[in-house]
Amino acid sequence: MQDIIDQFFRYLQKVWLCRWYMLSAAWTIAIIAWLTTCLLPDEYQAAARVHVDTSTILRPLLRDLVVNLNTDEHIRIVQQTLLNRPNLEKILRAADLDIKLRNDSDYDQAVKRLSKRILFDRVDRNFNLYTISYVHQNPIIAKKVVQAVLDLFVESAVSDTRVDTDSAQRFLDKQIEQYEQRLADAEQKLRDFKRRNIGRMPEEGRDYYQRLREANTALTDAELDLREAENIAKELREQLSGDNPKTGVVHGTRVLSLTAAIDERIKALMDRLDELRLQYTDKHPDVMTVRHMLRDLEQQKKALVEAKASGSSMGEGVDNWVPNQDNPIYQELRIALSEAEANLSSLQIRVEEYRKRAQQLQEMVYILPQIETEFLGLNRDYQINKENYEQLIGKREAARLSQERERTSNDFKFKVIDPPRVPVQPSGPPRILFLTLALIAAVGGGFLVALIMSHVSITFDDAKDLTAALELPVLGSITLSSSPREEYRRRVENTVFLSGSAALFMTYFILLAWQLVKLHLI
Amino acid sequence: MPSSSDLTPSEQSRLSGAGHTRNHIVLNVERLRQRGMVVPDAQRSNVKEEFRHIKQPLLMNIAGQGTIPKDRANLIMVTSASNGEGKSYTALNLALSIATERDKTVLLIDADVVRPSVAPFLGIKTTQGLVDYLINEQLTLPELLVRTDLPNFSILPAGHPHHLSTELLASVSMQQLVHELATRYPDRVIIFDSPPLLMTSEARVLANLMGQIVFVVEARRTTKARIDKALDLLHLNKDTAIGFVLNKTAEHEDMTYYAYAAH
Repeated sequence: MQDIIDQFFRYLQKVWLCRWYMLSAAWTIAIIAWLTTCLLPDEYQAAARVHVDTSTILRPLLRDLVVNLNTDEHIRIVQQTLLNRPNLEKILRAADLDIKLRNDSDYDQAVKRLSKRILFDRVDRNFNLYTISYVHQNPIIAKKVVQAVLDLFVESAVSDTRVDTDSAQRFLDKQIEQYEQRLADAEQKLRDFKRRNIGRMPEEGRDYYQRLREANTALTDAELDLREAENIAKELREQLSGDNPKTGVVHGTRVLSLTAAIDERIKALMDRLDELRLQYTDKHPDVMTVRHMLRDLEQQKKALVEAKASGSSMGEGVDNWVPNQDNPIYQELRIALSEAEANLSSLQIRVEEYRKRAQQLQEMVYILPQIETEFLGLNRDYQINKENYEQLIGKREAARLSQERERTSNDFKFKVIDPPRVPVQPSGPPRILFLTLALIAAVGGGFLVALIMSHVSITFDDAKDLTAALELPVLGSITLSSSPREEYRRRVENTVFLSGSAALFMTYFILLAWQLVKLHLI
Repeated sequence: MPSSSDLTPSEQSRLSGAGHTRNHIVLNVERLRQRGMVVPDAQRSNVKEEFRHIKQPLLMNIAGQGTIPKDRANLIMVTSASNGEGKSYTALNLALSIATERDKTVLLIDADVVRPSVAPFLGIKTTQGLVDYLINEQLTLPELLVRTDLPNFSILPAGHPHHLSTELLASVSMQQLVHELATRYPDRVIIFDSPPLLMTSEARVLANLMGQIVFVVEARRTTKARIDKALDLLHLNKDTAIGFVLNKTAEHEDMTYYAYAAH
């Protein structure tokens, strides 16, 4: 640490030895710098404060961009976009800056300078406030430039919106047309479908299964009836052909065949009885009826067999019996038979019909779900189309409304809050700063020069150093006698030096004061 | 080297002519003391010690105990690279210091014809001096010498300013004078206060006639570059001794052993 201090003092000494170099260098630097500073022409800044809704301006620009830019870059993009070459040229012309330009390169330079110097600054983060400013030596031009920029803004803002909403409108209109058509088609399809499938529509489908069941039941009943009728007819036929010997109705029936008919009937009744008994008790009226009928039939059978056994001599197997037509029972039987046959045929027809109906209904079992699905599909299509159509209609309305609104208040997007004025006071250059920097540079430069000089021109303060440097004999050294004259001389010299240095600082303060007066009091 | 017998009678008479010296000054001791110079009294002072130290090698050379031949050793030139470095101051001090030696006689010649300072400093009123001697053959040396109240200390002032003063220093007359001084008065120490080396080329010529050269360097001011330059121009031969004196050095703390008597 001590070494550093010693070294520092040694340097100070060296600088002190070359102090006149230091002073002259400092003065030179100071004078040049101060003169330049004072001769710099005043600059004036014109500024306007605007409210810009950057999102609306940027929407057409960002239509193709996916990236979400941060808001600080927003304004830069706005700046770059709005200050493109044609616009800058417009501004140049509007501010009369193109009067003095002669050739293309001058023009280019002017445009470039303009684009660099027109500044957009964000005033308030939250409220989209910006300051547009421009600095120029001529205050009137400065204001003109800013005004031109504002005009440009307004112009482009208005035209942009209109273009934007018009194209949006057209797009919507086209979409709406398409959807109208689709909707009509869907409606038509639905109607046709309904018409084609009357009776098979899902709402009516609920009775269908019931109808099928009913049809099946009817069919089974009819079939039963038919079989009954067949049986009756068959029996009657048999009675007619084999009942002769006994009643003279039929000839040559076997005893067995005679009773066969009744046996059959008895069997049938007994089956029926079994069935009933499965369901009901013996006390049931149906059961009792069947039992009754059964008893009758047994009695009839017994009577028949007795009659046969007692009456007829033909015991077995004479098949051919010629009906005795004179027998009135035979007549009746014949009538009954024709009736029965007639019944039979009508029943047959009924059965056919019922079968057909049942079959139809049966087939429908497969088609109905299909129809239901298809209907649902068509219905859904229709619903979707309808929804989209309604949405588009709604959007178009909304767009129209917003356009109306914007047309009436289009400066909402870009509003001038503080218009630019011709600046009275210069905004720059920062002379006070320059003056101070100059002083610092002067002092620093002086030190530097002194240091350099002390190394460039080596002097001696010690006989040893001299001996070492010259390698020639040194006879001795003579100390500086502090004679009054010497002292006086030294004092004078030092005074001159100090006054020279003081004068430097004094000049600085005078210049500073002058600048302050210029800025604050005037 | 011509011996005394080679001199013409006129030349002989010039140096040691019959004319008695008219010029006499009294050294202003107080002034000397004020200036911090060697004062011919019994008091000790720093500067006296310093010059005592400085003159030693010079006297040794004169005595033939040095490295150079004896014949011109008594011719000592005090010079410097530039002006204001303390050349005349050193020459005068050296002369005064050597004058305190009992067996020595000192002649201080102000050869700084550019800016003669010895005569004005010592208050010598006469205007004639070296230059006049060199121009006017009629003049003799004794007429021009100025004696002081120190019996063994005389001064030859520079003389009238002349537009050819510096050239005169390199003239044959000067050479002869120098030569004479060397041979005729071997016990006299002749000190030449010369012009700065870098200022006139004549100083260099003069230097080549000397036996010893005392080169004064001002501390913290004379740069090595200048010294080198001056030395380059000198072209010293091995018969001439050169020694340096560092003048106007800052006071050191350890120099308290000789306090000043009074200021």
